[in-house]
Amino acid sequence: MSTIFVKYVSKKTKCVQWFPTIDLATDRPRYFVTGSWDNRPQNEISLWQIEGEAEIEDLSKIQSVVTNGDINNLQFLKADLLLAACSKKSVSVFQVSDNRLEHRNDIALSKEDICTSLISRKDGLVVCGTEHGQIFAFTIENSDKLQTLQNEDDCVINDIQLADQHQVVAATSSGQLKLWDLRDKGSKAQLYVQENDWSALWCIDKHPAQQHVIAGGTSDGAICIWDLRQPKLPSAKVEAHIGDVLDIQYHQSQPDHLFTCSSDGEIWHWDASNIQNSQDSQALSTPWLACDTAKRRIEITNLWQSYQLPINCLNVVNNSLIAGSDNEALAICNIIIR
Amino acid sequence: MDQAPEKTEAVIADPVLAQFGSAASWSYGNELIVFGSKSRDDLIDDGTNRSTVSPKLHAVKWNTDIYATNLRKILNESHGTFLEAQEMAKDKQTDTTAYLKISRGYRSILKANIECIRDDLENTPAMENESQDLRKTLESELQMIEIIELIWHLTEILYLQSSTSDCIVPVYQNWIWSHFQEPLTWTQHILQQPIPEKDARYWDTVYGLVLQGRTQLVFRLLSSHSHANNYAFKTILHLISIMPEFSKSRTPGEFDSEWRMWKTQLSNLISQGQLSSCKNVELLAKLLIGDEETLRTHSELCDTWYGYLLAVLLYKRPTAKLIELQNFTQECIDTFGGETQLENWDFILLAAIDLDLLKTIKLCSSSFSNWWFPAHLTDLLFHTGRLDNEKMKYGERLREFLLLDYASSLFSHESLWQVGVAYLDECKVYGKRYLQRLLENIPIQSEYKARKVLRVCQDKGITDSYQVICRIMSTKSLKSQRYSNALNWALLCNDGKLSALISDQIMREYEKTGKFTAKDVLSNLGKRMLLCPELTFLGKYYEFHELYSNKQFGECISLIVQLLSSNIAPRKYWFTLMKDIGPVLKETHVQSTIFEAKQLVHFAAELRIDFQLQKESFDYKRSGLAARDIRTLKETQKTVLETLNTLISEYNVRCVESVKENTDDMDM
Repeated sequence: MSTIFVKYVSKKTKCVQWFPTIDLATDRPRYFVTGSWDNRPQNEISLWQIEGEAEIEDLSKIQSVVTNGDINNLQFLKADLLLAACSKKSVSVFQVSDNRLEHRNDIALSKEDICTSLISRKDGLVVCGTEHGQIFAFTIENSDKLQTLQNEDDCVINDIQLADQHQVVAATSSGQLKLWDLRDKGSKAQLYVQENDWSALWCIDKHPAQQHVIAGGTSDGAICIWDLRQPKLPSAKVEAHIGDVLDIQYHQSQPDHLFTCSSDGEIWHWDASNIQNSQDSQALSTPWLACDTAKRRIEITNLWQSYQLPINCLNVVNNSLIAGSDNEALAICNIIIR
Repeated sequence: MDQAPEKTEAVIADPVLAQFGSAASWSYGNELIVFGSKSRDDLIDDGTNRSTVSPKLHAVKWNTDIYATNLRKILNESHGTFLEAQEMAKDKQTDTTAYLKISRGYRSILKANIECIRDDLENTPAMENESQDLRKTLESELQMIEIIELIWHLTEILYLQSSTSDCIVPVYQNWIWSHFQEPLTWTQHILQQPIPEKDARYWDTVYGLVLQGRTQLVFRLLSSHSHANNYAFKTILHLISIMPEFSKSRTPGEFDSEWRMWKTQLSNLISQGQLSSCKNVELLAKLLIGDEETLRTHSELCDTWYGYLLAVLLYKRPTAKLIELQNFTQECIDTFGGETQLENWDFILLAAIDLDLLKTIKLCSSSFSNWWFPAHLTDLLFHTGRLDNEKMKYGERLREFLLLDYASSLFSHESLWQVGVAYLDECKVYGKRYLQRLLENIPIQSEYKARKVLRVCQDKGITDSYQVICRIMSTKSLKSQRYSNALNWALLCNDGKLSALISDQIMREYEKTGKFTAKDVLSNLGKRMLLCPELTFLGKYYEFHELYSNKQFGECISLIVQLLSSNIAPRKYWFTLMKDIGPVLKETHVQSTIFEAKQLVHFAAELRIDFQLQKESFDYKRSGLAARDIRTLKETQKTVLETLNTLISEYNVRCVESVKENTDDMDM
């Protein structure tokens, strides 16, 4: 049985991120950050510390930075640099030292627009997506030089990923997946769509080992798996949750395991390792590309229920999953990977 | 808690209000809309300059205590418990013990928060000025939650735990014990002293324990006295040890007669003066036999009238049934200074003890500035069937009314509206209508929030609000010229009219700039294209451009002919279409059928007639174009038409020739 620790925090959480440093004793980070949304009068980026060792005894908020507008995304560029996508200020950069956040600078992207998502590369490259469908790329050291990627429409960019060093993948509210190559400046995006389905794409994640395999969650509760080498349509699509799939993540070291959370208030652990074992002969690169036909062999566990209110975000490191929800609770699940 | 209503002032700086007085109207939840009391027309009639006076609507909102950080935890956590209770009710659960569990669930949430606030208070330095306000807030929050828990617990024992024929004293004692632990704390403190009776509070603590019926602790304290071996001590200790205890194994009647015998034994000892060697012990004995004068003089050790009520019950009527409780309250209240000394919550407790549920709920609603407490309590009592008796035939309506108010107050908070949805769900009569109105009034600052509201509409089947929100979002996007996003929203709610409007805008934009603004959405329209003719045309037209850029000229011509002949293309776009076909026709290697060529000639002729008619009827002045623009427009139209005619003729010749060649080939 997986164990779960829940704490009510009086803020709706939109994004959550473990610290990059892992505590060897517990095999999980001791700290994490959360960003709130839709709160009056202000929202905040909070830094939390886990109390207790093997058993979590409590979560204590050791710092909170107040902001105007929603916190849409949080990303660690490095262990000591945190980026936050804020509704009002675009991108805020925080220096992390001694487990404290110190505001370094803000990067304004575009007036009247909201930075909805961002992703960074270790060398300091940052790519951001906005509500008006704009994609900006810049380096953290040279943030006044913005490169704009050419987008042929203005639907909301809900999530953004780097498929490899140069390929930017974005998920849009019109249900498309768009791919740009950063080296090819001014080029148009390559489009990937769903078959006869236009439900919004909320979230995407790339397979940690096979970066051309992208998993996405839709507003119809389905997950789609695209092989970026194949044109347009997804290789697999599985109907899953009853509501919007709001976040999705592959397990970094065990990519046959996938995690999703949804507006129906559930967190699912998808275990596709059975498909892999039974199809050895076909030498499938990853079970996910055929997960719709082999759906019955995927084991799905519901990790937590938040009583019908949306779970907006999750983040998995080793055996620990943390999730934030609209019922103002944070949940830490201990996940079991066989 | 509203002890003395505080006046709060908010100044609205609006000359209209100052000049003409203000009027107000209720909005949703905690909001009033304030406006000038005279209409705009009146203002103009008064001779006021129209441009200087612009009447405004002012939204005046106020916070209630449920918005406080700690209380928000209670709201969110109890939401889950509330849903559990509804599930149980759906399963036709009628067993009260199941609901007792729910009730304890609510109380454990309250208790956890009491602990949490106490921790916070401990961590807030008392001396620093900055933390004074915080401490004050925390203290008032703490007091409120403690009182709510106290009342909830009492209603739980009175309405869920006991039936009217049960002996109430043991459960009532439990209630007092769990909320008034002062004698317990003192006992522990005193027992740690080297000579316990030297502590100034020794005897008061003993009496306090007696008044709460904690006889075991009385025994321990007395035994620790250095004179415990004296006769008076020994006698009372013995009597305490054989004091009859109420238990379920025997009938109240048995217990009563045993208790009376014991009491007579003790009374005799007192009247014989056997305890007079120690005045304190004698006093204690008098308490135990329920001597009225002694009880009254020591009543303040009970802190409250309801604490004193326990002492009265214990030593005067230990077998009292639930319905008898009310017979003793007046005496207790009088001992504590009468009703003038009572606080709001005292009246709630009193109403609960009087078993007047309606009054209890009414007072709960008026005494607290939140609806959380009355709404949850009423819901629970409703499920246990306690609201549906002879006296209260409108239990269900009362529950709905309170749930509606609670949900509305959640909706007037920017963040808590999602929690309110589940409560409205339970309101069978007005819930859906409320939900619709409230959802449409949620301020939407981002697409993300819009989608969240939309999800609720979808889940709860509120199609009207779903449409409204999609339309608002679409129109908003359209205003800022985000055409693809506007179209996406319009498609989401299948709004043909709006899609037509947006399609037209995209076409107009294309005609102006020669560029498509919503390419990626247009390229993936699929069957959604059929929503309205304008969109069908736009989709097909976009397809034409795709074909052209892929150099599929034959398909280009077929598509255009199809668009024209099937009436998909609105007449207003014919000119654009014919203009676009020019470059295609120029491509010499175009292969097409004679039929298509003939069609093109036909449409060019139609267009020429149109153009002539338009020339005569077009009111250039009204169109707002400058003279030079009109000239350019006319010239362009003329040139395009002429070129097109030439091209079509040439193209026709080519087509006929190629057809001829084909037939020649076939003949050979």
